[in-house]
Amino acid sequence: MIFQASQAILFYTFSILLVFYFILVCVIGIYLLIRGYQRNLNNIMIMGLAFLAMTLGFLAQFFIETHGFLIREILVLIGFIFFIIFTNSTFYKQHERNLGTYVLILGIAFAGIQLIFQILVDYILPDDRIIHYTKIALDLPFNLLVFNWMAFASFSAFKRIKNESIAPWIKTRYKFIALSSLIMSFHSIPEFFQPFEITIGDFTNLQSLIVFGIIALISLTFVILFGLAWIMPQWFKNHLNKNYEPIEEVSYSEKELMELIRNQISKRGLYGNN
Amino acid sequence: MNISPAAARGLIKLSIKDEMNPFTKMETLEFKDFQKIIRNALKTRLSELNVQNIQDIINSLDQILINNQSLFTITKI
Repeated sequence: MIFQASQAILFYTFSILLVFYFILVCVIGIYLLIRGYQRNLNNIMIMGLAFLAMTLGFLAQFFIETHGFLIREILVLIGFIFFIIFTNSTFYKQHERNLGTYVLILGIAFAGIQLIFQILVDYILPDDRIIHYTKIALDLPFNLLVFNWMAFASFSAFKRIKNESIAPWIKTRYKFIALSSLIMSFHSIPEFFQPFEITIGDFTNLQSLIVFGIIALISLTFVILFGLAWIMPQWFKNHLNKNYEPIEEVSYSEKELMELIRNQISKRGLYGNN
Repeated sequence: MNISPAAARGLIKLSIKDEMNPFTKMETLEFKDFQKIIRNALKTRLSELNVQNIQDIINSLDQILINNQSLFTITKI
């Protein structure tokens, strides 16, 4: 009885964490949508929509009885594709190797496959263990693709600027995006350990409860770090910048500046030798 | 070009002034604005300075801009 009570406590704790996660996802989505609109940044609005799609998806799962799981899957898949589009439009416009395009095509392919498997699991072969675990197995590379792509893009950008004279809060934003995305890329791994035909979080099943808890913790860590990256309070920016001295620009007139440049070029004997 | 960083920044600011509306605020400039500035006004300024291999410099700056394009998003929120 004590064991069941402690399982029930764990269930409610993890459920509260998950509710907190949904609230944060919704807040971040709305914030990014508004800020993107205010700053005329379509890519930020797309990311806001990604978060809102995920929120709506999970609400659909809980509140729509018929087809709730399918609606959730469609909305979450749309959200994930929007994440890829955000990464591409923020980090990879006009990139010579067009990697972003290939990632997007692969992502859409994965999304299509996930949708087919969701239909199979929900309507056609609900008791088929192989279909069930194949869907989970295919979910993993999709998650790895979406979130590691963002992590890689952000970390690569950070490496390029880490030694430049740029405000530390900007560098921290890159790091938080990279770290949170990397963490989130693994959030589907616990599903492999979810017992078949048992609902995730079923508190009468300890294994399911542990899976639920791990997914809740990973998701919450992602959303807190990612949220902090984008909704960085001013006191935190000031704290990060406390030892930062921005470059002080000397003011030249146009004529002085052009003379200065001509003198520097001729001193270094660099006409025709760039 | 091996000019000092201050001179290089000054040159880019002059190019911004050449290419854009004089009332344009620096913080409103976007990725495609900077591409235009590099490919047009800066190229003209370099030409006035009789710098050779201008196209190599322009291509190099263009590539740096493409590689660091995320800063236009990251710094604006």
